[in-house]
Amino acid sequence: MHVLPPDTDSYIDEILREYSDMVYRIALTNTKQKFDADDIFQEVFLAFFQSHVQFESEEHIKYWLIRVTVNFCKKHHRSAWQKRTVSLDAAMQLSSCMTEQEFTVYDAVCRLPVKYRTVIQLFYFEDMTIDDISRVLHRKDTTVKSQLARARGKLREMLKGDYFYEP
Amino acid sequence: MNREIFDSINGKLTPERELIQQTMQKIKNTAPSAQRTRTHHPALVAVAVLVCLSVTVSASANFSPSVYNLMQDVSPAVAQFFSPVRKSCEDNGIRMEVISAYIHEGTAEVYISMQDLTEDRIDESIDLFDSYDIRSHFDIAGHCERIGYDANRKTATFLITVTQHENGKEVDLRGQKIYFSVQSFLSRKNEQNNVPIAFDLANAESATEIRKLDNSGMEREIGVYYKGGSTLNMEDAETNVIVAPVNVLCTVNDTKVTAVAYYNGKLRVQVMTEHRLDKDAHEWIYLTDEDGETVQPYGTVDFLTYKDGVKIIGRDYIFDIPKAEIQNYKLYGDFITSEMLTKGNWKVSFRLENQ
Repeated sequence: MHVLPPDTDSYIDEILREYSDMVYRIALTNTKQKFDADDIFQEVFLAFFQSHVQFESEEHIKYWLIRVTVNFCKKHHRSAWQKRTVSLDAAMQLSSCMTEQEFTVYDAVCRLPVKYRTVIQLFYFEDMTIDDISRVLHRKDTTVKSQLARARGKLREMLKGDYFYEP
Repeated sequence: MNREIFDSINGKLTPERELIQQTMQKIKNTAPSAQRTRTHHPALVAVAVLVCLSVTVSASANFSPSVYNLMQDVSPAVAQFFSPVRKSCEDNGIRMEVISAYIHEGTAEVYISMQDLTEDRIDESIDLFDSYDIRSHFDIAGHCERIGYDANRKTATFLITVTQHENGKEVDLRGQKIYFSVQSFLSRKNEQNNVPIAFDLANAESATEIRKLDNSGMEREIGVYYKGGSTLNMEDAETNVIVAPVNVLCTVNDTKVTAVAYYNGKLRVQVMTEHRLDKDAHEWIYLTDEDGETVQPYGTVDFLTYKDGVKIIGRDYIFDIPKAEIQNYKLYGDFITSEMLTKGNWKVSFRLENQ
């Protein structure tokens, strides 16, 4: 079991304060459904506090949380097909609180295939380097580079250069 | 500008305060109490330990060791709070028993076991799937999950969690009567993952024939399931059509791969199964690229058809990979089915009370 420090409640507060936005962003953009993202959010943090991992640094905690969130999302993708419902994409659900520009870009990101979406998300939203992404996703850095390039290409194509001009 | 846009989007993708609070509460409820070290007066600690020990011993004494160990594994922090219920019914040589219940705030947790008294129909893969029902006189929401299996006793244990809501708020369940029933269950699950499908995708040709789906006749649409990335781009013209089945290219469990062909510039892989409804036979088809990375389908189209009066459920998996690149991909699938369906009529009603 995860060894919790003496003041457990403060530690839980601190971990949630520090990482809740990041975990939620990854879950929401990956699953594209608010309710699924809510479920995954809870599962990830419950798993964190029940894990046996001896965390060595803040970075270790961050990468562990990213990895586990992505894994929970994968599990979700594998099982979600059985659900007999179709609901609005996250971008549509959030459209009312976004500017037109934000909506257009986020909608395009949500329309990327999931492996590209994850890479784009970690690179742009979470500001991670290619080395870090390859480490956390257990993918070769050449794979990450190629996926990033293809994802950018697809975004450029979808956004027609309006908001995305990264080479 | 990209970074600025992503930064501004980031600020909008935040969890609701309520979700964070709920999560925090769940963590605090499930975190091991022994590790929540706090500074207490030694005398208070001694009294607390004595109280806890007496409660634990009295609670554990009411259950068989295996059931109590299971409860300890699942809910270590609250196992001692469960009260025995012990109401049971028997049908078709199988006994269903409500073992214990614990109510906290607007949630009730109930342990239920199913034991095969005569045969070997219950195993560790037992699945109640959609055949169980949880009811009350009030508006409740509940779910049931299998949490243990005792091979010696041929007994599976389930944990039911029930909550009652009124105007969006949880309502106290104490004193309320719950009706739990099961009509059938599946067992002997056979799951095969990452099964290579022996079809060289370089040979995928354009579909020579398609079938239009409609809502009548022998072949009708039962649903269109959007998954994958570019779902917004899927048009009706694409989702109302399947490729015509050619022949059986591969059979795994109860699922047959019946066509691999291009339609409308996208690869279609069609599967059919005769036992999706009664044996929960299902599958998930995907590709792997040169790097071994999984490529999920862009979308799926489900359909229902009949053969010799037998209902067959089919699905076209759609992959957005150009024909010129498809030779770089391989076809894989995960296939799951349950070999045994057992029917019966098991019903138990009990009142939720903390003792």
